[in-house]
Amino acid sequence: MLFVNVRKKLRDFCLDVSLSVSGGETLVLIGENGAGKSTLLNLISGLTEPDEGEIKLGEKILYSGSKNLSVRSEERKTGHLFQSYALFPHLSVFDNVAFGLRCRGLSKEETEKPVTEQLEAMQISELSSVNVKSLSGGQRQRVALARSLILKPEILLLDEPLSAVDVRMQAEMRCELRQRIRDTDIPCIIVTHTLTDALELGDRVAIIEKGRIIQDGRPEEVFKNPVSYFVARFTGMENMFRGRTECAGDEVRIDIGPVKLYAATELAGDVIAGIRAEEIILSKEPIKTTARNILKGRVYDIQWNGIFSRVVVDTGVMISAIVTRKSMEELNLYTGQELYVVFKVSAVHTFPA
Amino acid sequence: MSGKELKRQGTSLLVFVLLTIFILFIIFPVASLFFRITPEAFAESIVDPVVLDALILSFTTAAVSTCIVIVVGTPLSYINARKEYRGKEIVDTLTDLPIVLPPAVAGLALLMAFGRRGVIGEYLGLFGIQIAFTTFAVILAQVFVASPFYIRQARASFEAVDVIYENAARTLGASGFCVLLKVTIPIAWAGLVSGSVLTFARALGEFGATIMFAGNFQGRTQTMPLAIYTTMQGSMDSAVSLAIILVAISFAVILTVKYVTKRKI
Repeated sequence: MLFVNVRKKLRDFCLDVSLSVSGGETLVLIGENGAGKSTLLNLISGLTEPDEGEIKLGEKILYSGSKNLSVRSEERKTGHLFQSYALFPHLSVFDNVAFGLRCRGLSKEETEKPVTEQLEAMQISELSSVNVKSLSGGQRQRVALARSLILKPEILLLDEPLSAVDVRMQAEMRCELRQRIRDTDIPCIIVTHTLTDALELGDRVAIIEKGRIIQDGRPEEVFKNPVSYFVARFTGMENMFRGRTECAGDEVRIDIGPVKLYAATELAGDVIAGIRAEEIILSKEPIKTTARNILKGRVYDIQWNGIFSRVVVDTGVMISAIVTRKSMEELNLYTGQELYVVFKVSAVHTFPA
Repeated sequence: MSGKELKRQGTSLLVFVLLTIFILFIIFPVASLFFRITPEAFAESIVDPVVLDALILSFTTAAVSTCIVIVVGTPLSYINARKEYRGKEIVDTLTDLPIVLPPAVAGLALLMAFGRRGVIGEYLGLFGIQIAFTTFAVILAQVFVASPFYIRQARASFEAVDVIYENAARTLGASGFCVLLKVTIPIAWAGLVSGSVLTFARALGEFGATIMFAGNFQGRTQTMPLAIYTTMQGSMDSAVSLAIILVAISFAVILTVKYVTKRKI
């Protein structure tokens, strides 16, 4: 169990994070560039010192501000994977993987066997004598992981582990990475930019904004109920509009300029309203329905894309809807066609502006 | 032919002529050294005791000076590349100073400090230690004038090593010294080698500070440049032979630096 509760003054804001990750659990950290994600990893692995707080791994204290105690980075046993992997350019694959053991004073003969085994486990035996500069992104990731895992780390910190991997290989490497993390059974924190990484690798997702964790939960929870504009964008919410709330009897409407949306929200004043493209229904007729939001518009653009297509409707504001191919055929949609956009009150998410 | 094209051709012609003149200006004097002597005379003068003594003395003192510069300069340049401290700018300026300081001034300054009547030399004399006009003085003079070549280059090479490699090494369990030895220095290796080679070359060619501070005694303080100056008055063959050896070394230095810096580790 990793327990972190730290504060650190950065240039533009103060990093103030409290989180815990249990053994075998993977926490995915999401946030914009400069939100403090990498700094947080550095604080945990001891490369940067917090201003105050505490970092504990099980019963072992790694850092304590009040006790003025800080275990040195080289003694923390963290497997820290850097964004670019930071493989030593002057060493071969074998020597990179053997680096940590040799630092512990093991002789050449003593390192030979564990390194060979680790290379085999990672399926990179044939690269043993290759210089790391000639490796592909996926191979680099394996070497970096092997270099960390051979030391039997007690925490795993991965900074954008898939960003340097070729796009075609990412799905495969993600799957492989997930398996390897599962096998280690230690707390793991992954920093990422991409939604798929978060959904597939994370048992839990934490969203960090300006040094603070603003949402923390299971990936599907976060996906369903994003708490901020940033999280909503990250989870792929497409239709986002700035507006102002206004009361209409016992209902709340959001005035977004050309149109008004019915919503259920506790926010008041300036807000951002968001509707997922897949929660929108398109209809040729002004149907009678329990859905409160019915907007009239014209088809502006149709993007054919396999089973699902995206239809952009101009209702005064542009609204994207996801439509199955079957529905597309039945509705017989064409650009310029008159159409109704229908969605429920509960489909309108609101965020503070 | 348009006026514009004519102008461009004129410019390239001018550049070509200037370059040729300049290159000839460099090549011609150096080549003249080789025309001035026969291979037999070269072979004969190279075993002349004056020449032989100068050769041995030059190589040993330059090697020792370079070692001293490396041992002292490596930690210094690493600290200046990585750490911020008060007075860093001053340290930087001072380490560069010998590059612009005229060697004669450096020699005089060393004499004023370590000479028999020097600020420190006076007290050293009480213990029977004399520095000026000894082989040790030769080494001091060389270290003084040649050290910036290594320190500047080493600092730049250390700065070019991405901190992320050092961080990675630390999380893999390497202590600070181990990181420097196994990661930073190997990655900065090319720069460190070319810096050392340049320092060695500068030490080998040192003349002004040496003759003022160490004097000109054969076998003790008479290095190759001093020997050239001395033998020139008597046997031109010896002077030219020594000069040719120095030319060869200079070429070797340039080629080594080029090769080392071009080749990626």
